[in-house]
Amino acid sequence: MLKLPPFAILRPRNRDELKSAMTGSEDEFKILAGGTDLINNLKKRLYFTTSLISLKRVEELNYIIYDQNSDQLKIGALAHLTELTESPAIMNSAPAIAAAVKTIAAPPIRNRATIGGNLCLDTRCYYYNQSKSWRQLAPTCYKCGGGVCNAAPGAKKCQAVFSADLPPLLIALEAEITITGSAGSRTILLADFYTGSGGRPNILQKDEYLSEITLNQARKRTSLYRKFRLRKALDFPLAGVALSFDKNSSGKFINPKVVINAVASGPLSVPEAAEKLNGKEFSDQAAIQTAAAAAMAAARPIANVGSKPFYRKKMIGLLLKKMAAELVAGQEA
Amino acid sequence: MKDYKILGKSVARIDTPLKATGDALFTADIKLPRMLVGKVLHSPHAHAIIKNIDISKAEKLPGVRAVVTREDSFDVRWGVFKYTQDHQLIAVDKVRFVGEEVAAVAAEDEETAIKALDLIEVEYEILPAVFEADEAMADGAPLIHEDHPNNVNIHVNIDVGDVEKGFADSDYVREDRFSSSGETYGMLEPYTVIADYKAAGALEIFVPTASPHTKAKALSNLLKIPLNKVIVRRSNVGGALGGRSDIFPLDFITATLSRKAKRPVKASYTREESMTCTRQVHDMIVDVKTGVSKTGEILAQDIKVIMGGGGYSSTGPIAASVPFLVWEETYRLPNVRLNSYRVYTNKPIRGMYRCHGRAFLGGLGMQLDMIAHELGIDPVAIRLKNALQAGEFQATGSKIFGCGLSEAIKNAAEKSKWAKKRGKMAPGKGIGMGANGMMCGFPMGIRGGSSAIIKFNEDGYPTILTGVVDNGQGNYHAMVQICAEVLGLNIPDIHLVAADTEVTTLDMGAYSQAAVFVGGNAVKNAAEDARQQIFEIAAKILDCNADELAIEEGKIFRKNDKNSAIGLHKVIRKGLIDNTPVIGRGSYMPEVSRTREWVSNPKGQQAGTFSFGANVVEVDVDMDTGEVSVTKATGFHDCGFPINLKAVEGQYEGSIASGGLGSSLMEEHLWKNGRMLNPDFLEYKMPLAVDMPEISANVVITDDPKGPFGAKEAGLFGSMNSFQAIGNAVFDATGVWVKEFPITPDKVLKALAEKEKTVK
Ligand SMILES: Cc1cc2nc3c(=O)[nH]c(=O)nc-3n(C[C@H](O)[C@H](O)[C@H](O)COP(=O)(O)OP(=O)(O)OC[C@H]3O[C@@H](n4cnc5c(N)ncnc54)[C@H](O)[C@@H]3O)c2cc1C
Ligand code: SF4
Repeated sequence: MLKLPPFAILRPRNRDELKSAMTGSEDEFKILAGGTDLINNLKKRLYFTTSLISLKRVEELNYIIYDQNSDQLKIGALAHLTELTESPAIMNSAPAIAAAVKTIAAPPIRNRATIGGNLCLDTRCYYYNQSKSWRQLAPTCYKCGGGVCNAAPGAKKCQAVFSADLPPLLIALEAEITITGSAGSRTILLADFYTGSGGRPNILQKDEYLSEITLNQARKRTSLYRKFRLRKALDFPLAGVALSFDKNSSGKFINPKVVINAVASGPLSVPEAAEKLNGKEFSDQAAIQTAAAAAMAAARPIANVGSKPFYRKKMIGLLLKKMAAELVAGQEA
Repeated sequence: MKDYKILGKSVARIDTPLKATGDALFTADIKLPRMLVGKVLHSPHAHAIIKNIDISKAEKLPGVRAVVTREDSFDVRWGVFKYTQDHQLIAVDKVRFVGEEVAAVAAEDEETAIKALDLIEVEYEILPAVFEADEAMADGAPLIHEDHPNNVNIHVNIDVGDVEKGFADSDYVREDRFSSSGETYGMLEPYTVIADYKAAGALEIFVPTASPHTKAKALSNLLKIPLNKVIVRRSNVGGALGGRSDIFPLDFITATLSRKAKRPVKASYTREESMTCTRQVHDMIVDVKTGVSKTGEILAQDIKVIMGGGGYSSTGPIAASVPFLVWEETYRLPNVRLNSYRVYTNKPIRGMYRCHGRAFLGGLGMQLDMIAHELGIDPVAIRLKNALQAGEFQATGSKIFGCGLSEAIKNAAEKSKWAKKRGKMAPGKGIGMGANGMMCGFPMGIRGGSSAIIKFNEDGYPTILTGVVDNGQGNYHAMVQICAEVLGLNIPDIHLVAADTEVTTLDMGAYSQAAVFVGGNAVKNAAEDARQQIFEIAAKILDCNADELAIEEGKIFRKNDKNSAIGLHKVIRKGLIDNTPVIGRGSYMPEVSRTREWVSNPKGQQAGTFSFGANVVEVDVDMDTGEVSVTKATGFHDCGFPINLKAVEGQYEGSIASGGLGSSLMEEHLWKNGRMLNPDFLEYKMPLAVDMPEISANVVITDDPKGPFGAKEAGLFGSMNSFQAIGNAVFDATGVWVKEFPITPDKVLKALAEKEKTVK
């Protein structure tokens, strides 16, 4: 069995203590939320971290609040995934979030995992997510500080796959996030949080953490997320598509957004696909076909996670079509 | 079904409470005083000459107690057969796969051991490597063992009847190619060895094994220790599935570390090491040509198999033969030719597997359906037409005793409502059948039998000593049940000591589906022997003849007078005082050909008896994405007689998980330059509970004339024929055949697209 490397752990009890822990730490540290990803990665010795700062006791970061008047949904970074599936605040505002959460991992993992951890999830790759001794059997790659990519030999940079399920949906819902650092807080669009780089998937600086996720018009939009995986649970996405549009009863896509997942190093908004759908009926096969083709064209899967790249690309189009079919069926029902 | 007191019921096993509460100890849980931690350095190259190994820095690291390398190889080679001894259990001149064991250390703690590995410097000269079996067999491919031209490790040739004439007589002939990637056993328990080399020259070893006595013999040969001084201890086994029968480098290395350090050493493999450095499952290419009469009778079959064997022989001759043997155990094959090649490649070593041969058995079983389809015959009918019957002989000469194959096929069809469904379901929904026979107890020389002893304490309670091992399938419970039935006792009355080479007698292990059949017969004979002794002593007390007595609930009485009853403990005590202590002794050797040999003479009785089964599965195929889910499985198993019905049902459920959904739909190795990319449970896809279908497990009772209480094998019918059942169901659902296992959605989609093209 793999063992954890030796590490120190700080357990701040509130946001102030958290701030001083983060600014006071000289060592390279990692933030520990649910640990469902981080602990595995530490066992595999993916990080050189010698100290962890646990968010567990910072209860202030664990909340889900929906304000009906302003239609604003606020989720603290420490809200657990299971809570998101059970929360009336979510069910009353953006139930698609709960549905998407249910496609993540499995119930025991969701009981521990947090939304913050999901949004800050590291990218994945067959050559990377292995134990140190096994990884060392291949040359050191970009993501581990080396100068090659084992998955795509000619590549100039890391192509590890963005594999978190919630970001595409939240981006399609135009979510904002609050990043808190020693210099204060800033709020940005979640879409701007991601770098698209396999090596370093988001823009967080050393002294910053993600504190909150906000939907400013939570009920304004209808949204869906579908993913492809080889088993009916547990698996990370091999392709995923999020779709959102203004809520209406006209059976049309109004101001749609399409965000594709797990086919590049970040979630990818595909405005070309959204454009093809804008103003079109859910049942408009020609529009959906061209939108699916545009979404597929944006996908850049390589052979570094399961299934075949050609198929994952194809699934992007198929998932979009399936969602449209479900919308049609839902209308009829 | 015969009504027994203990047998044939669904009962909780003796090991259930321990396993359910987590109290069961597995090897990794065991701690010995002063125990060190062992760690292994593996080859990063698929094929390379080892120029130099420098361990001087590692040896100097504080906390390191021993380092072993090729200097400690004893110059011995392991092979299951005399003619397959090709494996030095720590690499000497060359490495032949990524992951091969090159050096190892024993240290006070794991961190130190890991650090020490980093300090070992190995200089390699990289050689060209070859990974695919067909490429390895081609002229000019790099030679992995210099003395094996074209990298052919084993060639099994079987030629029965007149194959050419059979084809000439056939009304319909077709040829197909099927293939499958390698697989992983996926035992939950990571491979762990604890070795304690004692000053007195004995070696005590704890290891998850399906055959402790075989393990002891091999270690005795390799380490040159007398067999009575090699003590393989029983510990719980977290899954074997065919992959815990062989000898692995870690066994030898841990023992050698302990000998050098003069302390016990525990070495536990990580998941990646467990999946690559013990055994894997062969990849396979199967070309099969079959000729049939108009009515679907198989008249000739010519089969060529190429199996990727990895760097060493392992159970090569057996692996090269078994898929064919299973096929000939199922259907009448008047004219048949097999050329099976097990080929060395620069991949990890491949061994036997409970679902071994998915391209073979899946392929041939699918081809049977293709033929049926072409001829307009129902797949059930073509199976019944060719199914072997009791009293018949298989192609290579084995006699069939009890046989419920046809009954299983008919029952599975009826219960699954086959006639209403086949070809008649909505698009995307389909149903398919598979069937097979299975050998119980094949020729293993002196190691093919089992013996057992039953001793009694003065309070009347017995202890069984048997070499039988339980890897999770319920063998221990079956032994206790058999003993209890014969001696008229209850399950809790009996104590079992099993699979400990210090005290138990020779047994083949849980191999060739023999535990209940061979080991169970031995225990039954021992219990009957003890009962006879008990009756003889009791006859003196009760003043009658031994054959007038019966035993029930720990009491012996005259059959015609229950009031005459005396307690078993009284009889045992009288035996002790009269110097006739009751010690039951029994043995069993399956009646197999003594001259049959896997490669040189594959003729004659190949097993003590055969079990049979048929399996119907239903699938749901998403016609847009090609995703297949199995919705229902209905199996009928001729296991002779179910000693523990629940255990038989459990075996079928496990079979549907591994052979069915896993092997047929998802499990595959992914590679790059000989390095396995998915050696873990997240990326190597084994089915999850949520993937499982509704299961109906049923038995056909034939009371096998050779088996203990009529019992025979109970585990392999679903795992050996689900590939064909699922492949056939996918055809029924979609109209396309996917001939490469696993049947992943991308392959289904490709096949659908090709079909569309040809239709247009
Ligand atoms: C078997 C298995 C299956 C899985 N399947 C899926 C899946 O299908 N889909 C999916 O999306 N995920 C999956 N996961 C990954 C993971 O469980 C989830 O993404 C989860 O939401 C991560 O949350 P966490 O709180 O456990 O994060 P942690 O493991 O604690 O942290 C993850 C990363 O985020 C950083 N981090 C955490 N919180 C913050 C914060 N507030 N600010 C800054 N950085 C932070 C950590 O430093 C770390 O780098 C799976 C994991 C496992 C073990
Ligand atoms: S994509 Fe390339 S660089 Fe990135 S982790 Fe994988 S092998 Fe390394």
